[in-house]
Amino acid sequence: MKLGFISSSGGHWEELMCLKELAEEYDAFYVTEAGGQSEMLSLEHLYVVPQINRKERHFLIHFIRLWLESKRIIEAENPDVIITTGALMAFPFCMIAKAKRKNVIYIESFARVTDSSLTGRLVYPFADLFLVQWESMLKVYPKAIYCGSLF
Amino acid sequence: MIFVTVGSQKIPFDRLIRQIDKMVQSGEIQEEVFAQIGASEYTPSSFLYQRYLSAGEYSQKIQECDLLITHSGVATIMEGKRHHKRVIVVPRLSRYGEHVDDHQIQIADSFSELGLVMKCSNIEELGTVICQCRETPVKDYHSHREEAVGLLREYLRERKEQKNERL
Repeated sequence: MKLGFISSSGGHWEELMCLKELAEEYDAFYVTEAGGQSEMLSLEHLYVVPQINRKERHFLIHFIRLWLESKRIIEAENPDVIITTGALMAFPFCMIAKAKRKNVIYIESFARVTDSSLTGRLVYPFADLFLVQWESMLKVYPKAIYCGSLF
Repeated sequence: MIFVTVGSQKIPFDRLIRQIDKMVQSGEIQEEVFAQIGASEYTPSSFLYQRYLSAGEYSQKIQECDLLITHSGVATIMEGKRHHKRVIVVPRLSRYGEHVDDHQIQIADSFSELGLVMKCSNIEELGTVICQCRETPVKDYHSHREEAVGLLREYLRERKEQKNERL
């Protein structure tokens, strides 16, 4: 079974890396954004996409390029399950994987204690497994499962 | 040494860097300061800085410092806690264009309520927060990773069994 571990840079990536031991138990690939520290790691099978931010000037064109890249990576790797900690960069991967009937696991960020992230809200309706790291977040996402902190 | 860090996002966090520069220039901060200033448009004149650090360099600065002053980035906070450091968190605020929204306030609030970090919301009060932080014993964070990993491991095992049944 093949797993795709996908997240943006910074804290989202650090949270995802808390699951590295799981990745090592399966055939896995990774996708993250440039600008973080991830490219310093000697991970095999790592894709790096440009960093995006929904408030930046040329967001739309970057987002379109990201969709095309996500499609290319999902088709090339053909994962059974994708696991992501967000953020927005992960959304195209989740949608494309879902469209191809793959399993989508979304883990809301540890930074979200009382309200939802945009990407969490977008993925929650169709995620196969939606996890939250604070019990207070079960009020925000009633169908989620509380897994405690990844850290 | 005080290590100041603003994270690797493309959004500047000048408010923190400016305040630290002001405090070093006035002598309110007397010890050595090193800052990771990221996308900041303001460049400090009174202490050493770099825009970005490698993972190894970052970790080393955190280990070397005796006070970590950071934007409210979960990764940095957790690394500071792992190394038993005094941590002051300054949340990025959307009203100053420092982030896309105000989610950084949430972890700053929760962790400061748990006594794991000190929070500074009003940058003018940073000097007071530094003094308070120095007088407060460090409280350690206890990891819950194994439970989360166990839950996912079980879920994936079930998915694998389902897949094998289908084949």
